Amino acid sequence: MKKKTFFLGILSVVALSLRAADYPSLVFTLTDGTTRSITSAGLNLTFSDGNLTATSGSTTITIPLASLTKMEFSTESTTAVEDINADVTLDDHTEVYDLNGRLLANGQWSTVNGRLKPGVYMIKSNGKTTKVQVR
Amino acid sequence: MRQLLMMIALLLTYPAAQAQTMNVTVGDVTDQYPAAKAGEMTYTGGTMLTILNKTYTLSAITKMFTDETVVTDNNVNIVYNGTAAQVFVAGNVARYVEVTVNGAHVSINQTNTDAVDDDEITYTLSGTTTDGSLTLAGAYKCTVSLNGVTLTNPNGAAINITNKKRIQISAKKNTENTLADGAGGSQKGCIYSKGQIQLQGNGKLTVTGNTAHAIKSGDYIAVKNLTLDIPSAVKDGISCNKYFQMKSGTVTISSVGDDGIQADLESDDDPTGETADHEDENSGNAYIDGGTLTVTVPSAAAGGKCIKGEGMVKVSGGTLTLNANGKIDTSDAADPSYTAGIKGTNVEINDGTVNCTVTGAAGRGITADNTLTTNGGTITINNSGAPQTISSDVKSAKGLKALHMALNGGTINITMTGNASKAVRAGDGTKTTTSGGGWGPGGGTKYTNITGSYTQGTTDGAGPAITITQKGSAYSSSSAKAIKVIPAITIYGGKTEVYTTSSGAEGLESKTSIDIQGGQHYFQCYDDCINSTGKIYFNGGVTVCYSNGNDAIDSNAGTSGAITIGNGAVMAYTTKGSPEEGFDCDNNSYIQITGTGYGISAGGSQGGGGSSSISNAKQGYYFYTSGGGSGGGWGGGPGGWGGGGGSGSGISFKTATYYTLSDASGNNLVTFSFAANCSSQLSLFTAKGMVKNSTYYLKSSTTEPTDATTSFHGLYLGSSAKGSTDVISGGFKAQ
Repeated sequence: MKKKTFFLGILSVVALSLRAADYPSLVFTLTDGTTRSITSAGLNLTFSDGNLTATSGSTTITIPLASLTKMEFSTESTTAVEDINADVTLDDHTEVYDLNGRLLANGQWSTVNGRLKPGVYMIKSNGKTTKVQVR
Repeated sequence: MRQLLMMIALLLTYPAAQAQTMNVTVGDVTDQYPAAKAGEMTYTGGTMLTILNKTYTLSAITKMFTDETVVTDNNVNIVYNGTAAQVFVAGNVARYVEVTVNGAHVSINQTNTDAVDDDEITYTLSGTTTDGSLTLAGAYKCTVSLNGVTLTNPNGAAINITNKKRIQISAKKNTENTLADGAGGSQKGCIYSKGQIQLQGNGKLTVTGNTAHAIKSGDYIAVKNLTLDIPSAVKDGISCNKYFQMKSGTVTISSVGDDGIQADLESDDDPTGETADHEDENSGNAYIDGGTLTVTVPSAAAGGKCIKGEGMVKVSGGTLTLNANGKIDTSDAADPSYTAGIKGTNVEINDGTVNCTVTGAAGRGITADNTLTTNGGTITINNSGAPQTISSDVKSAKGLKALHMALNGGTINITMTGNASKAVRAGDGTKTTTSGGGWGPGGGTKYTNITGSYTQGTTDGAGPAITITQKGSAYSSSSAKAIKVIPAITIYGGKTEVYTTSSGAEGLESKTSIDIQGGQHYFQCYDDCINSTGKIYFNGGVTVCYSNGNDAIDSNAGTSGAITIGNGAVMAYTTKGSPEEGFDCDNNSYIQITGTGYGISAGGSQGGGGSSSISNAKQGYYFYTSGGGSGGGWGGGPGGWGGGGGSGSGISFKTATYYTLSDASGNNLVTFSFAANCSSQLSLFTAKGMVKNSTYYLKSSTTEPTDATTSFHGLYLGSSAKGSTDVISGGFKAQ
C-alpha cells in the first residue's frame, strides 16, 4: 500500500509538471525592438488617443500604438517593477539609476515602468531610493 | 493500476488555475485566447490587432482584458439572459466564427470548411430567454450542445440552421433544455435544419412546435441516448427527409396536429433504398433500432400517424407505445387518410415491442401500402376504431393492413372492437357485390383483378404466434373479420388463435384460396372459422375450427377439391345446427383426400349435393350421417353412445368427452374432443392409417389422453388412449 501511494505521489508530481506553464507577464515589442512588459494577471488593455494603456494592479504602462508591433504572453516574470515603493503612484516622477549612479530614465512612473531590461537599478522617487532587481 | 492511470489523467486534464486568458470583447461577443495559444498578437498601423489570424479594428474593441477563464478549444459559449445574449468564442476558432447579436437573437456564420485542430466547432447554449434564438450558417459540420438552456423565439424558430452539413444537437448530461417557437410564423420547425440532425446526449430536451413541426430537417434525423419530449406540434413532431433513425434514448411525442414522426424522400436526390450504414441514403425510411418511443396522435389530428415513412418503416428493437386517436382526413374524398400506429410504403418488424392502441375512426394499427413483413418482435394492437361511411362506402378499422403481407415471425396479438373492423386485411381487387347473398356461390361479394399476397410462417415450418380477438359486429353491409385476404392465403407455420363473436365475423377468409401447410391453428368463431371463395387445402399442420354460429370451414369453390385434406390434420365442428356444417363445400363429393392426414368434421346438416362419397381418396374415410353410415354400407345405423344418439339422429358429441377412432386391433388413430356439445347430422372421419373396407371403431371416454405427441384444442395425435364406450355401435367400414 505504501509503495502504491509513493508511486502515485511521484506520478502526480510528474503529471503536474507536464501541465501548461504559467504565463505571468505580457510583453510588448516596440518598433525599435525594445520591449516592455506587465504582469498578465488582472490585466486591462484600452486603446484611446493613439495609445495602448495596460493596467495591472497599480501598474500602468502606456505605449503609443504607432510604435507597437506585437505583444505576447511570456513565461518570464514581468520586467516592470511593481511596488518598489508603496508611496509611488503612476503619476509620480521617478529617476532610475544604474548601480554606477548613471541616470537611465527620468519621468513619470507610468512611462518609465516597463522599459527596464533585466538588471539591478536604483529607483528614486518622493525623496526615497530603493534598490530593485528586475528579472 | 486503474486508479493510478485515472489519477494521472485527471492531473493532466486539470486546468492550470493560474493560466491567463486574453479576452477580446466586441459588443456582446468575447473571443478568448489562452496565453499558451495566443502566440504573437500583432499590431498593424496602429489601428489593427491580429490574434490567431483574426484581425480586430482597435476602435471596435469594447473591452480587452485577462482573466483565468479556462477555455475549451473549438467551443463557442452562448449565454442567454433575458433580452440579451453573450457569446464567448474559443480563440482557436474565433477567426472562423462570425457572430451577430441582436438582443438575445444570435446569428453565427461559420466559415471553416474543414476541421479546426482536428475537431469541429461546438456551440454550447445556456441561460434563459423568452425572446431569443440561434441561427447557424456554414459549410462544415458542427455541434450544438444544450447546457440547460430555455429558449423561446416568439417570431421564428428557436434554432434555425441553414448549414447543410451534419449537425449534432446534444443535451448535456443531467441538464434540462426547453425550446419553443412562436405561433403563426413562417418557420418550418421550432428546430429547423437544412442539413442532417443528430439528436443525442444524456440530458433532456423539450421541443414545442407552435407554428409547424417541432423538429424539421431537410436531411436525415437520428436520435441516440437523448430524452426527447415533444409535448405538442401544430404539424409533425419530427419531420425529415431521406430517413429517420432512432438508435436509443427515450422519445415522447404528444398532441401533434399531423404525424408523430414522418420521414420523406428528398425529392432533389434519387431514391436509394436502405444503404450500408445509411451512407448517402435517400430512402424515406424510418428506422427504430432501440430505445423507448411513445407517440400519441390526438383525436383532432386528421389522418395522423404515429410513425410514417414514405419508404419503409423498419422496427428492429426498442419499445414502442403508439396511440393513434386521429380522425379521418377527408380532404381528398377519393382517397381518405386514416390515423395509424405505423404507416409506410413498406413496413418491417424484426424485433422489439410494438404496443399500438387505436381509437380513431377506421384507424389502422400497422399499415403498408405495399408490403408488411414481420420477422420477430412482439406486436400488440388494441383497436376500437369505429366505422365511418364515406361516399356510400364503409371505411372500417384495421389491425394489420397491406397489399402484400408476410407474417414470418414474432408474436402478434390483435384485439378489435370496432364494428366492421378487420384484424388483418391483405390484398386488393375490384369488388363486386351481387344479390342473393348468404352462403354458397353466386351471392355476396366477389373480387376480380386481384393483387397482393398473404403468407404466414416460412417454408421450414416456423412462424409467428398470432392471437386475434374480434369483438366487433357488422356495420351496414360490412362484417367484422379476423383475417380477410383478397388473394391466396398460404400458411407455412406458426401458431394461430382466432376468436370472433358476431354474425359475419369469419376467422380466416380468402377471396381466392387457402393452403395450410404447417403450424397449429385454432379458430373459435361465431361465423365461419375458415371461408374461401376458392379451394381450401390442409396439406400440413394442425387446424381446429369451432364455430357456434355458422360453418366451421366453408369453401365456395363449387368444384372437386373445394376442401382438400392432404397431409395435414383438421378438425372442424359447428354447434349451430342445421344447416351449418363442419366441412361445407356445397357437395360432399367436392371433398378430396390427397394425403395421409386427418380430417374430422361434425355439423348440423347433411350438406349440399347429397353425395357422400369421395373419389380417388388416398386413404380410407367414413361419412356418418343422420341416416347412419353412408357409402360403405356396413356398420351404419343408429348413433350409439352419447345420450342424444339414436336411430337416424346422428351423433351427439358431448364436451369433456374424448372420442377415439381406432382400428380393429384397438390401435389409436386419433382422439378428439369438442369444446361444446355438438349434435352432428354429418360427420367425416379420416385418419392416417385408414384403409378402405377395413373396420374401425369410434369409442368415447371421459379421460383425457395424456400421452399424445400432439395435443391441440381437443385434437390428440400420437396417443395410445382407448375409448370405452361405442359411439357407433359395432364399428364401421371405411369407404
